[in-house]
Amino acid sequence: MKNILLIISVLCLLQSCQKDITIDPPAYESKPVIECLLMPGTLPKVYLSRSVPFFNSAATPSALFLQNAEVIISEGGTSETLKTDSIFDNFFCRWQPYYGGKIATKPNVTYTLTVKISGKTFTATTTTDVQAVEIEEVNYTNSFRDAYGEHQGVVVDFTDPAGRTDFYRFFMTREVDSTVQTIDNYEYSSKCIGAGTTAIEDIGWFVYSDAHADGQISRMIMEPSHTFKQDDVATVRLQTLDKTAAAWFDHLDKLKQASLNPFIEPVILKQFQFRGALGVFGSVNLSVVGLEIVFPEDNE
Amino acid sequence: MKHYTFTLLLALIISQAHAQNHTISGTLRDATSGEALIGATVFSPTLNAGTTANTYGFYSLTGAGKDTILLIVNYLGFEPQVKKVLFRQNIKLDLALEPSARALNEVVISSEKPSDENVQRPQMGVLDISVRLIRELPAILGETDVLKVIQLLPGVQAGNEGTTGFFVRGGNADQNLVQLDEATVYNPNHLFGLVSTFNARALNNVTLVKGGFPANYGGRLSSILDISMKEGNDKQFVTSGGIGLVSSNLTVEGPLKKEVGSFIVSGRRTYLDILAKPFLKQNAGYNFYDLNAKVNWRFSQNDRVYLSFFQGRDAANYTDAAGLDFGIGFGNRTATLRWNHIFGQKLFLNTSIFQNSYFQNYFSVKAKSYTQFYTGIEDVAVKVEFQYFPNPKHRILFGGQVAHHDFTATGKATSVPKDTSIQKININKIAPRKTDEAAIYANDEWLLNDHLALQLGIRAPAYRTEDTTYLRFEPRASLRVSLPGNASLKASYTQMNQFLHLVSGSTAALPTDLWVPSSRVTQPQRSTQYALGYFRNFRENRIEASVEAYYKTMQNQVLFGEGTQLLEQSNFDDVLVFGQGKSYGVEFFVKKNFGKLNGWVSYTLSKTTQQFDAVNLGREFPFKYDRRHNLAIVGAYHLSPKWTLAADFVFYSGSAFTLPGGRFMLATGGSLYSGHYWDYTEYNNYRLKSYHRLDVAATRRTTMHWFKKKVASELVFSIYNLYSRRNQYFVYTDLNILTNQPVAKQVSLLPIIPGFSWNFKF
Repeated sequence: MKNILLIISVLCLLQSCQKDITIDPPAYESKPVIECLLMPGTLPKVYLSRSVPFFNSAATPSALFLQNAEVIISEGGTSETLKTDSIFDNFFCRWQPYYGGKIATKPNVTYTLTVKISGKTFTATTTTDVQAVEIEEVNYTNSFRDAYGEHQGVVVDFTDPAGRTDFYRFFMTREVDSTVQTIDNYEYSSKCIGAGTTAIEDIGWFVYSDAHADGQISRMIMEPSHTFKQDDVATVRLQTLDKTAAAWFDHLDKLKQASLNPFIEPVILKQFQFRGALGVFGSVNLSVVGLEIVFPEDNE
Repeated sequence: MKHYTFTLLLALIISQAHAQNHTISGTLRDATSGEALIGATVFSPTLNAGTTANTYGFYSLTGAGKDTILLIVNYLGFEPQVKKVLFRQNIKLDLALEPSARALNEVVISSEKPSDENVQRPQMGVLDISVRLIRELPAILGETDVLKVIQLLPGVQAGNEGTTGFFVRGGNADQNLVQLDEATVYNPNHLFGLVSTFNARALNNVTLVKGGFPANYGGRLSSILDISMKEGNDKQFVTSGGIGLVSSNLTVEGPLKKEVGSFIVSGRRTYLDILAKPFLKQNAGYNFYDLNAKVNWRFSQNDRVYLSFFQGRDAANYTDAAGLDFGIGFGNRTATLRWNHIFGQKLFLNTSIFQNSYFQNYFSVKAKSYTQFYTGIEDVAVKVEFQYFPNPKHRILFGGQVAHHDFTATGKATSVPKDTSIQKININKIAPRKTDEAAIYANDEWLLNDHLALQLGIRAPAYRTEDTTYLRFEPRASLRVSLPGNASLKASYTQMNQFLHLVSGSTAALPTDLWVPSSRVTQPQRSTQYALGYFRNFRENRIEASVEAYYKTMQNQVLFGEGTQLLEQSNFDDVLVFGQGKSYGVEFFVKKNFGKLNGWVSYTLSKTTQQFDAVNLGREFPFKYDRRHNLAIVGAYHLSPKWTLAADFVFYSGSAFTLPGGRFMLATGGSLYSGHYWDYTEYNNYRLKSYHRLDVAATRRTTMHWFKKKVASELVFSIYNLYSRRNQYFVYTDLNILTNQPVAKQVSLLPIIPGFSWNFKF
């Protein structure tokens, strides 16, 4: 008897119990999510979606898209009402709807974005004076460390223009086949690429600031967000952002790290430009010349 | 001239008073073991005055000289002693009380009239815990546990199962000063909080102070858990021990020289690692041990020296096929040297030198990521305290303390290198933060008249670190007004300061708490507490009842800032944010100490919130352990001379944690995140489900004979979580990118757990 009790006790202690549960989540008010990064010489795109309660099943861009909104971009005496459009994301096998314009963005102009939805109006302004910065050299490293640990990465060297505050994100494009996966824990593989290839954009998750390196030769190292193989080729550019966009993406980066890493404290999501809505209306630019990198080894 | 006349008159009054008064003093001890009876009451109906024994069993009572006086000495669990004493001069009288019959395996309803100390003393917020009751209550896996009993008291919140510490009146775990023979025990837990580090066999007395603090207590905002180790039997050699499911313990005590000096050595070790090994597929190990030792020697009637030592260690590791590698080690060590000296009959001096050290080292390797946290503290301190008993109306305490602390706290988060050679933190290369702390204090317990008593105190702590110095003043006051019907109304006001901070992660229940000293940026914690209470005893003090209401504010509370974590190169001050806390509540307590049925019912209704400018957008949010309702019902029933049945039931509201309220997708976000983001709207915006649990135990006592020697034997059967409620340990959320579906997962830890132990004493 004593032995039976002993065995039961030890087994019970060591057996923790984990199960999926349905919880009654805290009340959550859905908010519009407005994204628009204007880049001179390109057509404006406004991604307009909504946030949903955490356990809501809607989880694709199409399901979250806010239709029937009035989206206007104006500058001086000119204004344009953007129309709904969409593009198919071949890698994630999903449609990405947006509101698109026909008038190319001009440099050094202050634009106003007005979004009217469900009786509410959201406005913000941005000036397209962000300068492109060219990359001087691109290299590969098989080991560097960032907040997520040690990785293989792409090394971007450039000279920061002196006398102004700049913010940068890594921007890489390449053609990938169906064997390529995301490198997050889910290791997603595309089901839509089939035997061919598709173009993907790899945007860096952190925002690099020149706050302590104004005018200096600078280096940014970024882990690719998708798997790669030896001899894969990619084109690397620098995305420059205005202060508002940089603050928004930096905040999101902290928020995301906190939600992924149990050792990091939760970050409460802030509203930046829009009262009652999430998102950003900012201006960006991109290096004119993209430098090629050939990966010398498979990623691990 | 007027001034001289007044001085002369005062001197005359004092000399007259001295001429008429005599003092009776001595020690109160257990007749069978010689252990000090801490808190035993001495009352003289002739003098209409009384006092209590201090931590060393010393008492002193002064009154007008008479031919004879009657003395009544009372102590819970002992036969009261009534003595007629000639009182024509100062008298030294050491008294020894016999344990009541029940302690000798015979159930009786004692005829003794218990003391009404709880109603009469001006201090409120004090709870004395019977070590005997601690040993009778149900315990997880049969391991008797001081802290589990503390968690059942009013105003005390338990952490979640598996988390460390307890939470008093809205304070964090670091705001409890846990002292073992005056030395600080920074982490009083084994087995991730399931078993406390204190071996009940080695303990003499446990007192929790949660409000109305006398001035000799300081350094923490919320409570003092004052634990005294046994001194060791100074009359005969006694061996006692217990064999349980997860650990065994053995205690040996005896005289070094009869009634002059004694020793006690008590050890406990788990064998959970050995028992569990055959059942585990994973590579896992766990063990803990603790060791208590104490010697004391009486050099003269007025001098006694005590040397006590405690060490506890825990080590756990776990490795599974999925690549999770986890390890934690932590431990406390304390050593205390104390010298008691009695000057005359009214002045008692205790000088203590103590050293304590604590460390916790945690690491995990998961998904090629390596994380390590280390926190360590080394203390050396000296304390000198006088207790002066000038007359029955005053009981004066004064003294001072100096302490030096070395703090080490660091963390590391990196990926596992390709050659898997992880560079662990080299603790020896981390320069500790050095701080010094000192305090002087004075406290008077002043009986104004039959109806009014006052406790006034002042404490002046000072603190110095590399970049700053702090000097604080802490006024303390308590008032007792006696009411008809063996009742009293009490009020107290307390200010406290704390120069140490335990910074806890608010996310998962991971052992990443770090001790951080105050600095120029990280300012000392400060609290102000107001309390009001009504105390009343019923049935000749056999039932004690009280209602206490409190309101407490806490400044300079510390959290990790949003989005931060402590890394190896981090400066504490860069990752911490500062705010304030507020707690208020009402505590109901009914306790029965005598008769076949012992136990108590406690219920606390409270609310605790925090506000940090840099957290939660500056909005107020609930404290993690803000639990509105907290109910505990505890009882032990002495069914027969052989059998005792015991049970405890707890119910409390779920603790708070942070859950994302919403989520959204971005087309322009970083690619690594696949566009998905979570919207955390509020800190601690969700509650775990209410927690409740029933534990039961049955104890069978017998006497056996081994080799012609009488052996007291005790079989304890217990069941933890009788109805196997799967209480939520923590809840976490996830979003599966493949299916795009969010999920919530609940982790429960402890189902029904039977326990068994066999205890013996010979």
